[in-house]
Amino acid sequence: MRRSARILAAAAGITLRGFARDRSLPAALAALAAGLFAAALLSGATLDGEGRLVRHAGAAAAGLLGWALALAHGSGLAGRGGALDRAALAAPVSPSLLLAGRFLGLAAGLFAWTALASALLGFGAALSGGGAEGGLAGLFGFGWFLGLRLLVVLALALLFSTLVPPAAAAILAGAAALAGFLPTSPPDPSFGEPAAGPFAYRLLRPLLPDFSRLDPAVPGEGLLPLDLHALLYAALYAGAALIGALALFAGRRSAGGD
Amino acid sequence: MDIRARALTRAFPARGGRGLLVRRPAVRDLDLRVGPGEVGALVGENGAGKTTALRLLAGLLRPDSGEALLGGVPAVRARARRGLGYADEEEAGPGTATVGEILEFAAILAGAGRRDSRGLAAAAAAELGLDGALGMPVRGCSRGTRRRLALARALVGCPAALLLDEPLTGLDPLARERAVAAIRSAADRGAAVLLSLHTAAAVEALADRVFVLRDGALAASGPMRRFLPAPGDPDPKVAPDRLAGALREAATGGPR
Repeated sequence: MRRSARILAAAAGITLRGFARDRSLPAALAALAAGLFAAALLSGATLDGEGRLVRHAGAAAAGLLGWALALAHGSGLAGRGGALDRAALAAPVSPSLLLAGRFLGLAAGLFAWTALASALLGFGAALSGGGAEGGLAGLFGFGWFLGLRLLVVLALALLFSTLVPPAAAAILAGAAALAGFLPTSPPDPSFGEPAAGPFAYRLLRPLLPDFSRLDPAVPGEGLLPLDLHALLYAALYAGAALIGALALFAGRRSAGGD
Repeated sequence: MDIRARALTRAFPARGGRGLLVRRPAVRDLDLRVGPGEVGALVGENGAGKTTALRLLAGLLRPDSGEALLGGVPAVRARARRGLGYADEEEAGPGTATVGEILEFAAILAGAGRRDSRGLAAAAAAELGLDGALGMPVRGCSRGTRRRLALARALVGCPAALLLDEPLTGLDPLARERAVAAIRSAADRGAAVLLSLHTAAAVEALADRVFVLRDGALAASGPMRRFLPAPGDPDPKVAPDRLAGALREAATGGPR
């Protein structure tokens, strides 16, 4: 048990450090900073004295860039490489343990991204003159919900990466995650929807994430407390996807190896 | 721990004559055994099946038929691979990790504690002359350094069996000398070593036993002396050339 925990921690650590050193992280931070700067310029031109534009544009950019990072890195998780190269796979450990370690390391990396993005967002909002109505707590709430959403996106990317090549996994996971914004109840049939629509909707919708439970607040637009229900939902959804991915990965390896 | 293959066979899908997919064997009915303290060399032309044989014996591939055994246990079982060191021809480790991190990770995978892993990593690095490169990210390393790292990774924690895919390729003479010494010293400590080699000089420097592969099957095998020139050869410098001739003859099915 202690050995498994050590291996899990080592695989997570090497993945997290790899994520931190990868060029995509500074590139995403630079893109966010550039977006905030552009929003600040526009904000000045439109006499938006409260810096609302900066907050909204920054929050959207932080979310989009976070999704891109989660999909780009997550869709390659079950592929060979990183902590899952051949020399590691030849070691006397379960490959599933290495895969789980990679997932945890990348999840930690994405939470680090949300922390950095939130800090940058707060800095941008302060510079644009609006400050933050919610203050630090508002920023924390934003980062918290964004981090939970990214955890779910990452879990979906991992699940699909055990089934299809990385590019297809990124597209499918992105589509499944986008569907998470659909309402949980089917459309009203009185509006002329075909009968099969609501049935298929009822069948598939519970399998997709429900992002209305993980709604990040825009910093400064009202303070959101640290929501444990959201944490429970994200952890359960990501955990179920992780278990499914580990089972599929183990099955794929026992079928042919390498 | 010994390394053993019994009637080992593995095929891969390939394009056939009319463009249809057929299964072409990469390794066929391979039988070999390397005992503790012995160094076995797999030789053969490109595509002869050396890498596939090593991956089967490392448990990375499942055989279609036959057995790949480490210490008598099928290599696909994790417990068979306790005490196995494996070096891949293509991969040294994640590009974003440093040399030191990869060696420490290898030590932890081999069963070491977090505290011991640093010492084991440093020892393996020193053996291959990598002490100065511990903080260097792999993506910034030269090809030769990556090859040494792959070998050092396999040697971490004094494994009881070593499977090395072309461990000497891409090394400069000094690094090659170090690598040969490290592999020999592992065998002297009792490890069973099976490696693939491309040059007769490397085979002569390392191997106790030679396995020549042709089209995935064993074409010739035997102790090293079988492939060496007769005793009393007036010019020992020509030995690698003669060895090369004998190996080429065995690998291609006739003199060229």
